[in-house]
Amino acid sequence: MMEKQQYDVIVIGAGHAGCEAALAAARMGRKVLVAAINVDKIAHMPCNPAIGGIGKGQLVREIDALGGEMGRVIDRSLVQIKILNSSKGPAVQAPRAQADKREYSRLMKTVLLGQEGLRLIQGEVVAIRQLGGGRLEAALSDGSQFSATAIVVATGTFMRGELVVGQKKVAGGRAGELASAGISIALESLGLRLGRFQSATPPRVLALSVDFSKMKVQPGDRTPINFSFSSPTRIKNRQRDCYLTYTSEKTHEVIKKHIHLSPIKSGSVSARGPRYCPSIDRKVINFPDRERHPVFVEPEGWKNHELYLQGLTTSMPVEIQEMIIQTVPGLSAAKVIRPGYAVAYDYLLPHQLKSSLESLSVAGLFTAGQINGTSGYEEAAAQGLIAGINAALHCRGETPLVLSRSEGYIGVLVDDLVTKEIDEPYRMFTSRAEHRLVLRADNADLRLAPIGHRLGLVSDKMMLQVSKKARDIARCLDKLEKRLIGPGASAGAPVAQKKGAAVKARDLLKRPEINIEQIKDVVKLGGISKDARHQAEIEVKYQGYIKRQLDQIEAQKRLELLGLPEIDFASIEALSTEARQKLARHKPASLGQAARIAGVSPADISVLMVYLEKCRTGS
Amino acid sequence: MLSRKYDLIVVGAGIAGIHAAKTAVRMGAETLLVTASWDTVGCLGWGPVYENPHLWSAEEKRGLKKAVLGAIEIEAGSAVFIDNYIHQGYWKYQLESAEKLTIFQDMCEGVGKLNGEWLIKTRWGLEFQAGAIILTVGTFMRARVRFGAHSGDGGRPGETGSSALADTLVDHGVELRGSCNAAGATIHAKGINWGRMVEVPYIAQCAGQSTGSVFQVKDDQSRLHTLAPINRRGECFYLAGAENENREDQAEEYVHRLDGLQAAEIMKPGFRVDFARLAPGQISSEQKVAGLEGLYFAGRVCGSAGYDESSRQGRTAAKAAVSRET
Repeated sequence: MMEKQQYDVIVIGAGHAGCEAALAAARMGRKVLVAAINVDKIAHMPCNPAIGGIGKGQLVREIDALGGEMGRVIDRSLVQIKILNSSKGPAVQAPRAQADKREYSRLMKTVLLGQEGLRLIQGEVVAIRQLGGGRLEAALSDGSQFSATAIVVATGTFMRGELVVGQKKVAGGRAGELASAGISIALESLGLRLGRFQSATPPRVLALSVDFSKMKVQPGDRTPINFSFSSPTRIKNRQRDCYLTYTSEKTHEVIKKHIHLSPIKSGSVSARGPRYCPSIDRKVINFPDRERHPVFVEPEGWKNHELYLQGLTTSMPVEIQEMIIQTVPGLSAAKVIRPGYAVAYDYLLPHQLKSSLESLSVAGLFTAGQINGTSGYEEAAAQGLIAGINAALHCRGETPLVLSRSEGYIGVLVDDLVTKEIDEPYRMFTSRAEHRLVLRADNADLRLAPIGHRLGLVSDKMMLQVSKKARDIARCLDKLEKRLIGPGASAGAPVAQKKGAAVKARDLLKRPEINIEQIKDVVKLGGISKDARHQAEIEVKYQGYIKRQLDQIEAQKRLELLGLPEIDFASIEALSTEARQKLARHKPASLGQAARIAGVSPADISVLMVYLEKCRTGS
Repeated sequence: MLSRKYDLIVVGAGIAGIHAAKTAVRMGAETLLVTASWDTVGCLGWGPVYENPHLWSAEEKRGLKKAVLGAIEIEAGSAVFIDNYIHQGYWKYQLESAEKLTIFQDMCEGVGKLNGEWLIKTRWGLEFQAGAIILTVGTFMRARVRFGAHSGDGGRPGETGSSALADTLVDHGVELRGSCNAAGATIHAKGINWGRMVEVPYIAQCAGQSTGSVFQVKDDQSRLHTLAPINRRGECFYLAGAENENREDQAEEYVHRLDGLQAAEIMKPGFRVDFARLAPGQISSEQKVAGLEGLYFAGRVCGSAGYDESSRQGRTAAKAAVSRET
């Protein structure tokens, strides 16, 4: 093979997963080829024109902390940003931004084209083969062939993609775009098992035909924040508004009357759809007591009159879509510009992956993104980053990066994928993270930047910033511990102690009605950044809960440290039949991971512990 | 709900279609613009080079100022180099803001007649009616894309085409013929040996910037082709002029034989599309099909080349369709 056709890493697909994978591997010094089926649709947002949200915002902050690109690009292309759940506890607060879709895509493409060591080409991969000597080969439809030590497959919804509206089905990966069968065939011929999922997107309407006076304005935050820890402070507050309206009784009537035409009922889509991102038809059937469902009307960019109707996802026939839209206040005269539709596609059953996202059976083959059964750009980007890092480490012959469930949402995501039964598209929520009080969007940099720095993905400058923040927090906590606030202290009436002995500032801060900004002057915290003060405040206020979670994490670590060698589970008769099957299928890396597999009970874990002890002592 | 009846329907949102739609609404016609993908509205899919865009209105010249990278003089007048991203953004917003214009994304799969009016049928099952229709479907009928060893469906690489529309046109007596269009490769700046290129600075012509240049590269017969940056960042260059020179299965080798491009890395290969076009001699100077009232064609589907010609035909067809006597 000609020298120029050899690479370290080949990334197939340039969506959200593919872009993170390619950039990470290239930034770690590998020679990377990215093959995109359409170079004019890099990091495209085919559904919600937004980044972040509950659970997802945490993922984006972690991607950013590890040196990934998503946070930086959305900061430069957002039309609105806000913190969700700002009135609730810090564990569930998450940033969410509306994007200018076209601009996001253009910026990400620019980053790819400017990346040293990365080559972007347009082409469709139709075969993946194992060559000897630890090399893999990807063959494109135009006849060209490339070899690499690692391949990251990040093909999204394009594998045997089928577009569905009502009863009609047409081959396609997205509206107007051709699907691809090559990768599915390639993966199957490598012995990998595929499943089938479907995802749908709502119709878009033209802004000029919408009556916003019937809707409630949903503006961005007055003091807009950034997603990326490395973005400069936002000076201008120029944002676009979103709007909120609701379905009406009439809407539900229309849906019920035509429910036989919905692909769910009519059976024309047998693939499973996302439970947590359901179509409006599914919502009306599953929640018949709900009088109304929210519909968020979101702009798709600055100079863009298209509006995304979040909450009205449907792939009913177009006439029915129009009837549904008509019944929503504010949308009675709305003109549909793009109809909603569903796409059914092949995905790889992710239990066939290691926690590094490398295939259990094909060395050097990694998969990331929607292909692993997830839904969401953020979930895809997080996997892409891990797969790209590990593809690079694989090239170097080093141990892969595996984040544990207590280190980040990314850890939760990957662990869930390889241990759980993924029978519907997986979406991240804060409730999936048992350690969410410790894994917050606001402290992702403290937790993960050191890892990103060690890998060479986070700059020294950024690392200094993070170290300073950690020191500031420590200083702040120290001052709160040492400063006593007595009665009549000058910090303002609500803070002053009424009577009694002086109290530590730290203890005063524990009171729900006191916040750190109120006492910052008394405790002389002015020299410490607001961000660090905020972090210290959380530590103080949630001290008890945080300690409990940290203890749980420690206990869990012990189980995680018990690595599992290659075991013939079938030979361990004391295991339940189901446990034997599931363990053989998932091949868990540790006892802790084994415990999380559905179908493996605590009794089975005890059996394994006894078995391991026997192996260890040789008895 | 979308109206199902219009004064005029334009099928296709490429250069011919967007000019047809714009002209029609300016003349007061209730117009429907149907396209398989609104993301490719106004797309310069055959190279970002516009020869002689003298037909741009004053408003368009103002609005497209930022899209113009520069111009050089050529035999036929001038060649203007456009940033496709900005060009598309402008047209997308312009059309979305136009009163009397309805836009709908769906593939047109057939035409028919109902009560003396024309009907179009879309892939997802909608039917729209109008007194006149203008088909600006470009290279998308019975289309096959070829590059390297790849030969597959599509009006452009990765984009779905339609054979159903062609069949219904033939049923109505329209004659079609095979044709072929080719586009050049897009190349990464990194592998280009600039020392072998002849730099041709932009002239100050259009109301746009004039700093920057294109580069001319020689082939082994000393013919000149042009390497034009596709945007101001200059990371990629479009190779113009070499489209019809090479067989698609030798496209990469051809590029590497050009002087200074021996180590060039191709981002997007050049490609050819075989498609069905209107057989010559069927349309009048007003773009109307002989013998079929209310049926018009404009753009590459008529066998023409160049965006300038497509936009001229789109405007002409719209003027004729809207002002025709019913």
